[in-house]
Formats: sequence, C-alpha cells, structure tokens
Amino acid sequence: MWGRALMILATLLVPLSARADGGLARLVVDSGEFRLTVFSSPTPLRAGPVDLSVMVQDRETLEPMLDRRVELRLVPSAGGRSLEVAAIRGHSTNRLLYSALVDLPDPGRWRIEVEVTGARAGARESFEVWVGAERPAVLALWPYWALPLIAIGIFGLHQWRSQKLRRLNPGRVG
Amino acid sequence: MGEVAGAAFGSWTFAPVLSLLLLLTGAVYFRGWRALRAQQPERFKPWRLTAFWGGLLTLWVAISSPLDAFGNLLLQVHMLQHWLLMMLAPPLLWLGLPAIALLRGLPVTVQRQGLGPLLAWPALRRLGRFLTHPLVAWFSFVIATWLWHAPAAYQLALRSPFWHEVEHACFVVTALMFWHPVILPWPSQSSWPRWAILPYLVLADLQNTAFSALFAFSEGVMYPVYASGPRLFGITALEGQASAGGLMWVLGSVAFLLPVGILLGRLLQSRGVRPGTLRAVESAPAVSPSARSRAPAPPRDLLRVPILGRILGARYFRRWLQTAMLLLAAVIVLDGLAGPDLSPLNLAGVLPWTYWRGFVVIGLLVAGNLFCMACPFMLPRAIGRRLLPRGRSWPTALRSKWLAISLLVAYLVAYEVFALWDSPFWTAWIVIGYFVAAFVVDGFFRGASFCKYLCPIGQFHFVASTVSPLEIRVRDSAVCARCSSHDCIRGNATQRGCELDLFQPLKSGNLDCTFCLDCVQACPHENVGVLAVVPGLDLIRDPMRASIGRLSARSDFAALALVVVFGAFANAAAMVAPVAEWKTQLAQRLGVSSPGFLTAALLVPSLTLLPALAVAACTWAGRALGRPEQSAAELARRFALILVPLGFGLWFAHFCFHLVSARASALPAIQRAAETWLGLAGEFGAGMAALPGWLLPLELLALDAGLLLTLYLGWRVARTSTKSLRRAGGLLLPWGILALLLYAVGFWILLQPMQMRGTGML
Repeated sequence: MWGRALMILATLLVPLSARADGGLARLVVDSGEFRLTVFSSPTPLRAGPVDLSVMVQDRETLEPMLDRRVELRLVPSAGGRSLEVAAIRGHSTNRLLYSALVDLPDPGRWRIEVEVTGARAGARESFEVWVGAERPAVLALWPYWALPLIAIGIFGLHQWRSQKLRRLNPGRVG
Repeated sequence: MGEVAGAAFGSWTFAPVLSLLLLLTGAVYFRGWRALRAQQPERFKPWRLTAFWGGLLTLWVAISSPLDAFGNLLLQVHMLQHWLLMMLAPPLLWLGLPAIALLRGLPVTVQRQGLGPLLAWPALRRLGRFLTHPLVAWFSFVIATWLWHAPAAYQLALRSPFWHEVEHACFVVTALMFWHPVILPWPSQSSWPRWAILPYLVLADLQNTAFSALFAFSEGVMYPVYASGPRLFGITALEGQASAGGLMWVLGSVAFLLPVGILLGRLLQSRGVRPGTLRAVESAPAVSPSARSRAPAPPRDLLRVPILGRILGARYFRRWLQTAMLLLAAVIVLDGLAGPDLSPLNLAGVLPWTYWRGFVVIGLLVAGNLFCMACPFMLPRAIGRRLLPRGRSWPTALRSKWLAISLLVAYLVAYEVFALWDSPFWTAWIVIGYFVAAFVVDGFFRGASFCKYLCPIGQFHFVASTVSPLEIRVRDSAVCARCSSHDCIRGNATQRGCELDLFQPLKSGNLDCTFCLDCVQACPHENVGVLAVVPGLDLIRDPMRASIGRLSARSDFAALALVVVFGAFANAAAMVAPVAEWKTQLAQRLGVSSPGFLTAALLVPSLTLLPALAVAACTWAGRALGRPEQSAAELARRFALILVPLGFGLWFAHFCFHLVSARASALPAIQRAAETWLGLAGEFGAGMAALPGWLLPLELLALDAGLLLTLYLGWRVARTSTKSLRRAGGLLLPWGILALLLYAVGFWILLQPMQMRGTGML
C-alpha cells in the first residue's frame, strides 16, 4: 500500500514534463513547389510568448524539406510595429519543423506572413489569426504558487495524523 | 530520405525535471533493493532491479523520444506512445516490487516521521485498496482509454499541452491501477482468487480488440486534426488511423494475453504446492525486526570524503583560497580606480556585482559560508596584528551585532542611493575601505573583532549560512567531554584556536562561524568535522551557544535576521520597473529633486521600521491567539529567525538572475582590462546572453522552498512553545500570514522585468 501510493505520486509527476512544439495547424497550403503547414501554440493564441512552427514539404513527394530559409513576419491589423523573425529547425523539438518563439505584444487581429526561400524557388503565404488578451503571468505560472499550497495541505494532514497516532499510542516516540 | 530520418530520430526532448525525477526514483529504489536483497535474496533478484529500471526507462522514452514530438502529426506514433505508458511501463514497474524497496531506499527519518503517519492512515489505506480493487481498476483503465480517445477529448489534448499532460497522467495512473492486481507485487494481497485475473485480462483484451477495430475499420477520419495537418511520409490520415488500430490490436493483445499464459502456467504449477508454503512466503515480514530498529546513520562528514576531504583539511588550503581572492580584490581595486568608469567594461563593475554575489549564494546553498573561508581581508588583518599594538579588548558596550546591523543597513542604502553596481570607482573604494577597516580594527583589538562585530558582508553570510547544508562541529561529544586541553578554543603551539570564541562542544549552527577550519586543525583528537545538517533546523533550537548565548535572549541577532530578510525584498524591489516608475512619480508629486534622498527615505524605514512593526504586530496577534508562556520579546526574537529561509530564497533568486543573465559579461571587461594593463588586443565579446527558459522557474522554486522552510520552522518553534495543536496554530498564524505576504511580494517582484543595471549592457 505504501509503495503503491509512492509509485502513483511519482508517476503522476512524469507527464508534467511533457512538452511538444507544433500545436494547432493554422494553414495548410500548396505554394510554389512547396506544401506549407503552419502550426501555432498555445491554443487559443494569446498575447505573450507564442510558438510558430512551419513544416515545408515538397509539393509532389511530400518529403519534408530541411534546407530552406523560413522567415515570419507578424503584422498587427490595427497598425503598429510589425515583428520579423527567422524560424529555424534548431528551435524545434520536432526537427522536421522550422520554429520560432515570438513575443506578441498586443491582443487583436494579426496577419502572419510566411516566406520560404530555397536554392531554386520561394513561396510566400499569409493568413490572419485572432490573438486574445495576455494570460496574467500569475495564472500562467500557477504550478509554482500552487506547490507551496499543496505542500502546506499535505503537511497539515501529516500533523493531524501524527497527533492522532500519538493519542492512540501515547508511549510511542516520534 | 536519410536526412529526414536523421532529423526525425533526432527529435528528442530533454526534460530535466522528468529525467531528474526518474533518476532519483531509480536511485532510491536501488538503495532499497540492495538492502532488501541482503535480507531476502530469493525475492529481490537482479531481474527485479532490471524490471523496475526498465519501467522507468520506458516512461522516459515515451515522454522524451521522437514519439512525443511526432504524436501530433502521426496517430500511430501517438498510439505507440500510449502503449508504452499504459501497457509496458506499469507492469515493469510493479514487477520490481517497488512498495517496500522504495520505502527502504528513503532515509529512516523520512520513513518514520515523514511518511509513516500518512501511510499508516486508515483512510489512505482504504483508498489504496479501493483503487487497486480489480473491478475499480479494470473499469478505470477502460473508461480512461475510451474517454480520452473520444474525438473531442483527444483533440483537446493535442491542442493544449496542459490537457495533454492530464491525459498522460490519467493513462499512467489508471494503468498502474489496472496492472496491480495482475502482478500483485509483494507484499500486496488480493481479495480475489488468482484465477479471476484470467477473465480480467481476457475481457480487457476483448475491449481492446473492439477499440482497435474501431480505428482499423473506420471509413472516416476520427480525428480531423490529422486530416488538416501535413501528410508526413506520404501517409494519409485514414491510413495512419488504420495502422494505429492495427498496432494497438497486435501490441495490446500481446500485453494482455502474455500474462494470461504465464498466470495459467503458474496456477497449474501451484496446484502441487502445499497452500501453507505459499502463505508463509506471502506473509513474510516486509522489513526484518533488525531493520525496523535501524538507527539513523551518522551524519556525513565532508572531511572524510576521499580527495576533497584531504584538500579541505590541508593546512594551507584556506591560505591559498584567500590569496587567490586577495589577488582578485587587488585587480578589482586597480581596474576600478584606473579603468574606465563604465561598469560593463570594468572588472570592478562586473566581478563583484555579477559573479561574486551569484557564486556566494550558490555556495551558501550547496555548502556553507565559503566567502568567509576565502575572505581576501585576512591578509590585511594579519598585517595589522603584526604592525599595530594589538591587545585591547573590543569595548564591552559594542559586543553585539548592533554596529554591524547599522553598517549593513548603511551598505544596502548606499548600494541603491549611489548606484554602486554602476560605479567601478566607488566599488574600488569600498574594497579599499574594507582593507583599511580590517587592518585597523584587528590591529588594535584582540580576536576577530572585525568579523564578529563589524563586517556587514560577514553578517549576511552568518545569517544566510543557517540554511546551509554543512556545519563545522564535533563528531563525538564524548571525546570532548574527556578533553581537558580545549585546543579548539585555546589553540596550541602550531595552531591558533577559534578567533570568534566558538568553543566547539558548545557550538551550534553556523552563526558567527567563518568556516576557517582552525578548530579542525587545532583539535588533537581529530574530533571536529564538516558535517551534513538539515538546512535551517538550527534556527528552531535554542541551546546555550558558545560566545552567543541563547538566541531567544539576543535581540540583535533577531534584528540582523530581519534586516537580511527585508533587505532581500527591498533590494530586489528597487530593481523592477514598476517600483522605479512609482518612485519617479512619487518624487514628482512630492517635489523632491534628489532621487537619492527619496531612495534613502524609503529604504531606511523598509529595513528598520517596517520589520519592527511587522514583528510587533505578529507577536501581539500570536500571543493573543496562542497564549504561550514565553514573553513577547522572547517570542519575537525566536520567530523573527524563521523568516531567514524566505529571505534567502529571494536573495538566491535575485543574484542567480544576475549571474545567469549576465553570465558572459566578464568577457568584454577582461578583454578590455587585458588590453589596458597587458597590452593584449582582442575583440570585445557580447556581454548579455539570452535568458534561459529554466531561470524563472528556478527563481520561483527557490522562493517556494524558502516559504515552505520558513513555515515549517515556524511550526516547530510554535510547537516548542505550546503542546496544544490549536494554540500552536494560533501562535503561528500571524507569522504564517506575514511569510505569505512576503512570498506574494517576492513572487510579484520575480515576474517583473528586472533592470540589468549596467552589467554587460553594451
């Protein structure tokens, strides 16, 4: 029973470390000699850090193309400063994707332009996304403030149990 | 295709938390398995260890391998990942008989006092029995499988990392429940006869067949997310779905029917064995009587660690450290006075404020007061003793921490008012001032008066080292009881005794200890070591301490602790943009033209009046709620100390931020100094590096740990003040609220953008 509880606790923590880039496919389009798929994460999109990943495939064979140059340009529809960033494979967990972490400053409608260039030809596509208001950092980081609360709860339970055991076994030390 | 395959197979995720957790679990299991194998070699065979480690490895592969990276692109890969999490890892883990092995692997204190009361809780035992009851386990497993593969839930998990983690957690937990009655790991006992597990598994296989067939023969795409994504390797979503179904069918059947065969064979074999024999094996005690009465192991002694112990114990080790630090201090003074007054390009702007402070807090956390051990001001102190008429006693009226506290407050205020981090010139003068003060004070007065009564940096380290994991103390008090020479305090012909009057048999904790190891060298019985201690626990003890007395009677120590704690918050808050903005607005509103004056006017009360008021309020409320026997002053002195871990947590987070964010800032300063002083030309490197993603979590975890240790210490102090659980809670409540308020402030500070304050901003 003791080990059972320990095992379940330990393995509960295992999936907490799982992370994957990619997310929701926002655009799948044949463009030039490529098929482009653009993923975004988180879902729904919010102002703040956003992961944008692009898969570039050969339009005919659908083989992933790993030696292209992928540039992303994010333009706020309401006007304002646009952001430009290069998506690279080194940033991705999935090495077939070109990805970039972009810090979106404002909520609202954004146009995302994807430009792929290669040895012979290039492609350029764009699409629009709606970006919600930034999630308060306190909410985004909830595990860090929840951890002490959980620990305090377990400690309270522990003290309550210890007190009860002491009452049942008055002669026992510890 | 070769390059694509290489990239695909290279898509590993290194998850440090997961890896560390699994390594730790594996290590704890191994420790327990080894101990149990010595007692029951027949039960704890090597293959059990292999099975358990294999289970951990399977979990790691499922989460870290390309299976995870490709799960949102290829359904069959995702299903393979689920199979590892649900069908392979859990039975392997149970085959390792982890229940007692994991417990035996933990320290005895954790087993008895930490987990004991919880694991003996009847309600928890009932819950455990309920969860692993075959009916509950079977249905939980099946319901989790079907529900999470329903299109809405499955796609939610693919879209959201959070729900993906919840999904995997559900799978792992219900799979552990499911496989428990099948493996029935010792010492568990089943309420069902063993043969009943045969239909249990066969029925599970039948539902798996239906489940897999749904995927394999479906004419439509069940999860549109795969249809809308890219077709990878030419596989359509429907083809992927069919192969996922086939995969689950075959692998699932193997997982369910293989144990059916094994179990059937065992049941047939066991018909020839007398029932009593089996029962005797099953009911063997989990832990032998001798193991139950195991005494806690003696604390680890750093001086007895091979190689490291010899280095630390070497007679001139500390002198070498001090010489190295002295040279660095000399370089800082030289560059600070004669180099450019631009902190990113000056060694006096970079080395002390970015590196030294960062390494010091890391040293305090992992070892102890290493700064005092390597103090560069020892040499001027030694010279002062030779040249000046040493021999006076430090004035009795000043034999407390009040003067040092004033200097510490002055230092913290000056740091902000004069922007010391941004002034190599003034940094150099502070170092010079330190040299002069150490030279003069120890030149005129006996003992280590400078360290004990004046040095503000030393006081910070004394307080912070109360949460360090090492302490210099006697190995065996019986040896000290027989000792009459007391060399540790008096010294002898070859070695002086403790300069800070810490008599080893009465020394407790790290307060006032400079880690000089003089006592280690002086003790003729080799009875002083650098021993491992539980961080922070010294703050809840109140023995008569050598040279200090009882902490419950020392207001100056309580005040010192409060300045260090509130200083952490004031110093960090002054760096964040919203506070800087607020200060500017306040200056405009009040018509104050001198920002330095306003800073001082805000900081001094924050370091003195605010903690005093907070302590007074908490003491008053605690006395009203807990009605303890102690006086208000005694309570205030004892409870003030419990805040130290929280304050240290923020100092650690703050200084680590600077160290990590400006980790490359030494390069341009060194290159510039090399060019100026040595004529070595070089290109200036970049001073700032990108902030790693783990930095903020590390800072927040440091603050979390500080809060939890503070609350724990508070609870222990409260329990020593009253036997009643309710009164102890009442006594702690206001201090707990104060700690939580400080924690909330610290959390908020860490989320704000911090100024780089000149270090490395080129």
